[in-house]
Amino acid sequence: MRVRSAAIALLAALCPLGVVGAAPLDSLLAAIAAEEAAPAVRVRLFIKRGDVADVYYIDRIRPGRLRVLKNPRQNGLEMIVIEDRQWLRTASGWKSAPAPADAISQAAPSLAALLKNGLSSADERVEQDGGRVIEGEISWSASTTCKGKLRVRIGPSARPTFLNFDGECASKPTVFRQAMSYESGFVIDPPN
Amino acid sequence: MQIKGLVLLGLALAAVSPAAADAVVTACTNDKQTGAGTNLAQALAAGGVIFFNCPAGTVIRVSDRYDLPGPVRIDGGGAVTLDGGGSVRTFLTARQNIILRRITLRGFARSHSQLGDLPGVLLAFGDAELDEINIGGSDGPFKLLKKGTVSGSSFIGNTGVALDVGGEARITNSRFVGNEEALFMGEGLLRSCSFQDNTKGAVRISGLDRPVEVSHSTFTGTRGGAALALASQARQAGIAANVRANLFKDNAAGAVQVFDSVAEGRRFNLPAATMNALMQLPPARFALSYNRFNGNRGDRGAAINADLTRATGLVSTGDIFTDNAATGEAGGVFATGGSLALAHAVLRGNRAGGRGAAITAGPAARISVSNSLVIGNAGSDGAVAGGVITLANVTVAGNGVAGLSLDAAGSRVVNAVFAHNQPANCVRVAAGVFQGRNSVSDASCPGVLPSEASLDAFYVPEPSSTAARDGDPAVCGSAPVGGVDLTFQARRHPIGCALGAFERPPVAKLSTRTDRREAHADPTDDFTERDGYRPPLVTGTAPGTPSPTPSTSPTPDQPPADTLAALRGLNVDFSVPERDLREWLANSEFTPYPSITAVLFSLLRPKGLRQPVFLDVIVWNYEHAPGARSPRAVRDVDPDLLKTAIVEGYNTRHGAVASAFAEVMR
Repeated sequence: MRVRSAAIALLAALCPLGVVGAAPLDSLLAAIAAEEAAPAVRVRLFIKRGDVADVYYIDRIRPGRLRVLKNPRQNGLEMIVIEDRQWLRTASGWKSAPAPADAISQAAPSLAALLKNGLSSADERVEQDGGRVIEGEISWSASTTCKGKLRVRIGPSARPTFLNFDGECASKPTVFRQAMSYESGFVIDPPN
Repeated sequence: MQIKGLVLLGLALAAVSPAAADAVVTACTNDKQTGAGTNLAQALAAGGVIFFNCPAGTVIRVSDRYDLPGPVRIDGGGAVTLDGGGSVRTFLTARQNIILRRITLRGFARSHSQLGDLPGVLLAFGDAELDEINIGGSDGPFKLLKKGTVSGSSFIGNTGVALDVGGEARITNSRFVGNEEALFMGEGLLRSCSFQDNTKGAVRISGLDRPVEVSHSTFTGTRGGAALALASQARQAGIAANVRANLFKDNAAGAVQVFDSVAEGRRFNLPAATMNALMQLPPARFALSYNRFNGNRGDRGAAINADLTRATGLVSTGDIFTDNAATGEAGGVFATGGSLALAHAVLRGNRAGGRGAAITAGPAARISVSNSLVIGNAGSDGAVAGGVITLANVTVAGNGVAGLSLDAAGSRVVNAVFAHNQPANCVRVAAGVFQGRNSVSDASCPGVLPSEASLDAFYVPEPSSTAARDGDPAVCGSAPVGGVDLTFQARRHPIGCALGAFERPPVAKLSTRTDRREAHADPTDDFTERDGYRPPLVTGTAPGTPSPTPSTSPTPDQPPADTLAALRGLNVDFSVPERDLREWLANSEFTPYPSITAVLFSLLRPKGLRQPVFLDVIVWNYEHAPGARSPRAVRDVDPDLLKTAIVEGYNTRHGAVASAFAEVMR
């Protein structure tokens, strides 16, 4: 299966309806494209909807290797995808199954469309280290309606390093933070 | 692991001489292969870092021995086997540091010299590192005279001693299968290793200059010698051997043996000067904790056979002994010549042909048993038997042998339950042994009127039983009982505590949650932009990653005396001997106490806990939580896991039902 950008899974959930200045949007889309092209990326993601919080750790090695850990301190879900095979850790051990074709990419709407339609009042500034910060209002509707403030930091390597959303979804306070690392040196192997 | 591996690779490269050039072996048939390319002999002569450019599965026949004057690293890349053909003796003699990585060795033989036997593969005069190597079918392959670091390696089917480390040993994540003797070592660390079917004993530890830790390892199917043999003396005073959280199962010649070097020397007729030197060695201390002994067999003391004549003593805490069997005395635990204290032990289903189906105190031994269960053992003469024995808050019940059989004066039984042992609860027990309050189900124990303790399925006195409140609170509150029961539940009733091992049903310990709702994250999982990406602490995919633990925490090496006082101020006390605890707190290399204590301070300051909780129980709860690793650094401690451990310790001790950390804080 094709493993798409780990950031997309997130940003795909965020997005659309509105107008954005061309420069911040171009910067953001270029950064997302750079992140997609990275050979390895590790993501730390914290989401709190109302009183319910979850933390995810997502590792991706191109091509075709993905590992997702949800709430590891609470012994939560763990999933590994390698090419066309996936493993899910359950109470009785690891369960292996064929990975649905393009499952992740199919689940992710067009990021470009979401950003083009959903980001408004965006502002971009350059920081001392050469990185940039883009801030704006964002709203989108999927199964529910969300709106709030989005802040994205793009590192000197032109790839996103931190995303922050603070707003509400379905009238519930919702926050989302995502940090990315592009350092390699980790592996994703099938479970023993 | 990958990141760590690269770090180690850098260190390894730094360890070799910068003047030595890398050599790549390209002649892949034998060590002296002629023609094009570099053969192994040429590469070894060059020294430095040696790689192989050979196809996977290559076997290089070795025909000679090599003396390596400089530092060397030999990296087989997981593709190469060096085969001595059974005739090459002492393949490598390393005069300086040496590293062997990702290589298989087989068919090397020991050589004999006036100085004694020399190893088959490697005699190392400097530090040696064996990383992901496989060694098989060789004779006494490794003798490392200085520091030996071994990880991820396999020692299979070797004769003699597979690995002999003379200096500090650090042996981790390795396995030893089907060797004659697996490992000889002194001080250092043996962790997360497996020893299986070794035929002349598995591990022998002697000559300690510093402490040794054996932990989280398994010893199965050993025969011809004890699975773990420990010399009773050290080279320095005050040295401790810590044996923690191991599994000893189905070993045929005993599990743990503490042997007297002097007595052993006499058997070997060592010269008088040597014997005199041995006799001058200071005694060592032994601390066993939370090990499991199951199905071991032996002549005497199938689980623990301790000659403590020249030792400071042995303390066993939380060890479990089940279904062990001795042809002679002591199906479970035997001691002679010194002091052995068993606490929080379960001895069940052990058998002995001689005295003591579960425990035997041999000549000059003093055995203390507290907060323990001795149940369902079978034999010919006493579940607990022998010389001087103290039982405090012990339940001896349902044994197919007399509960207590004594053959010497000086024993004492208090706050105990003896119930339905067959054919009687006591044999040869003198008047005055049973003191204070006890419950005995027949009239066989002098001075105690028969009474029924009414034990439930877990050997806990029913609430309606007088045994539930007949205990002497002074005994329950003082050493060795220490104010807790077998599972560290508090014994705090001012009028009368329970007799026997349990103060009350260990509901919190035995129950399991049935509300399997999905567990979510909590605010401590949140992070800021400044925190950035960090891998999860629990899975530890990137060792060395900084943790969010507050930097204001005390260092792990804070003086233990100050630490204990500070902990008391936060309502954290302890149920183990203070001397042991001070030692653990001062040892951040071998114990989790310094790192966990440092994080405890950051969690509990300034207010502390509402009621006291034992530090050792907190540490135990933490280490035994699902997925937990025993931390050696502050950054490795999971603060939320630690909070859970504190709450569990609090609930257990005080019979409380707190579910959140805030509920147990002042």
